[in-house]
Amino acid sequence: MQELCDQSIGDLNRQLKGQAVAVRDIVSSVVKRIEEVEPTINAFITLEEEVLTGLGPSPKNPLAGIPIAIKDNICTKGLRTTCGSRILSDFVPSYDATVVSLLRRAGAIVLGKTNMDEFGMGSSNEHSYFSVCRNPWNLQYVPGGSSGGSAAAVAAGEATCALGSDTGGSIRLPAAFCGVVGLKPTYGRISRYGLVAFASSLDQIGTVTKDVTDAAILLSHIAAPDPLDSTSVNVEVPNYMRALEKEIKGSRIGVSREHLKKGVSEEVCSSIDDVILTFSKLGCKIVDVSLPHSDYSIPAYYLISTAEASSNLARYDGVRYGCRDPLSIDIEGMYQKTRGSGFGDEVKRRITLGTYCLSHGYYDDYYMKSLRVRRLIKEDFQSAWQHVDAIITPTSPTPAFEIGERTKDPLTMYLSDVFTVSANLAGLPAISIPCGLTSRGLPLGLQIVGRPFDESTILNLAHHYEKSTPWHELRPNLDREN
Amino acid sequence: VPLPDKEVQKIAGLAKLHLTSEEKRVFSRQLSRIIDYFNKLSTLELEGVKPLSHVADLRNVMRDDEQRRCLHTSEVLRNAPATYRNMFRVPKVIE
Repeated sequence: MQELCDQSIGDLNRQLKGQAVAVRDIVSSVVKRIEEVEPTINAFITLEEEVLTGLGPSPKNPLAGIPIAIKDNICTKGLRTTCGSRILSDFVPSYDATVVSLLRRAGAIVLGKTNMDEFGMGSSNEHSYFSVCRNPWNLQYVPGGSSGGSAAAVAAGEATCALGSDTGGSIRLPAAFCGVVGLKPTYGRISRYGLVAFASSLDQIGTVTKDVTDAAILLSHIAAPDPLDSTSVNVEVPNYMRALEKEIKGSRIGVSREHLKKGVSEEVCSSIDDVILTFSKLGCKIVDVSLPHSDYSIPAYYLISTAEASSNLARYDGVRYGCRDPLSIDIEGMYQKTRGSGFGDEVKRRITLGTYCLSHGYYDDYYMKSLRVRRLIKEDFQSAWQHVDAIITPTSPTPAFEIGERTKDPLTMYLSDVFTVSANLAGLPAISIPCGLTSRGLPLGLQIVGRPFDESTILNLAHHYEKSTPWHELRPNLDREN
Repeated sequence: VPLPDKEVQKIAGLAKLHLTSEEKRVFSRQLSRIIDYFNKLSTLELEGVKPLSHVADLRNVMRDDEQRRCLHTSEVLRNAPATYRNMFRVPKVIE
């Protein structure tokens, strides 16, 4: 029997309903696990103190007693929210993000704030001011980023589920590296109010869970239009739980062969062959699709996201919040020194890159060009939807890499996102689910991308895949000395 | 090299970002390589393709102009590095 901290929301709910366990048992189990493994994994930047006090008898709320971890760029009233940055290392929000309010209202218990690459900028969680988070499957490896702490916490049983944010793969990549389920919903499906902005046209909040059913449960609670976020969209929220069980026979699944070229590891390629076989056996039709501009998605993504970031991060000037360089006596020097010492390497690199591509003389060559390519990428998908219901790719070209392996070479790090950025550029929903283990025992991830606002179809396909494979049941061995 | 140290200095100045000379040297090398790679965008024929800055069908969202509760001044100032009465305090701006 698995310990309570390793179980899914679905399993815990059943036991709570049957009064086989109490809320206190669940929270105690998670707290105990945190005490055991957190010193080595470092999934949290800040833990909520005294989560065990004030727990009443199991209330009727749908998420009652479910311990959840929140990525540290999502505002939590009264609980420090740092974005993994020195510049916000003392920032305490005066309000909850809309998603946090919705979860609290449903009875979820906020455990703390998870480690991340500074302001969401990174694919490995190594760019955190609060030091690296480690992959629970092998402590020498990165958990992926930027929501590395959320994925590591869920994989290690330090939380039942978590929220992350995804600008170019920041939920899906760590979910793949840590063997858990990561869902990035359609742009506009979930309110971004209270999410600290990185690249506003790409950012989306999503979920990290132990299985696909839990992703559907959490999405049902946080998908809602919000007057406080004018980019949230007022469309019907379907019943995701009912969508899971739908028959998938005859579904058309697109595979883009252009994707499976150079730079993709052999083990990743063969895992995708197995996935295709599984879906064929389940009665799905596998269809070749063409996404001719996918080769250009990395440059387009990094130009657009750094341009937006350079503008969004202008607010950190040492005046209204955040740290301030104490020695400057003139305001210009204060701005420059505050930002120079408050931001880490990767953030400074991206602000510089974004400012460059927006600057006079380069604007047309870089920024405008990348916006045109963005349209072509979106149109590639629109044509594909005429032939298929969803598209599958690996989540990442390789499994998790070793800590320190890519930090000296930012371009190689950026290329980790080659399969994930397109969904953000086109605003599409996408999910990563476990689809294998490498010979070294590291998890592999399958990505399923869907039509705009059609989370139901990708959850449905993912759920049936999960039911016919053992991968989501595997848990890392946390006792191993490594 | 598309982005020499000097150019990095100029760009960082626009972003009000102090960089050490070591940072300028490293960023020049790294960003030049990144920009070289990004130049593959210029192999695409983009004539007539309209730029897409946002995927959502954005419209103005209007609401009635009514009084609403907002944060108390003490809450607004709570995270400021320096304050004076009900104001943010900054180094001298005017000579």
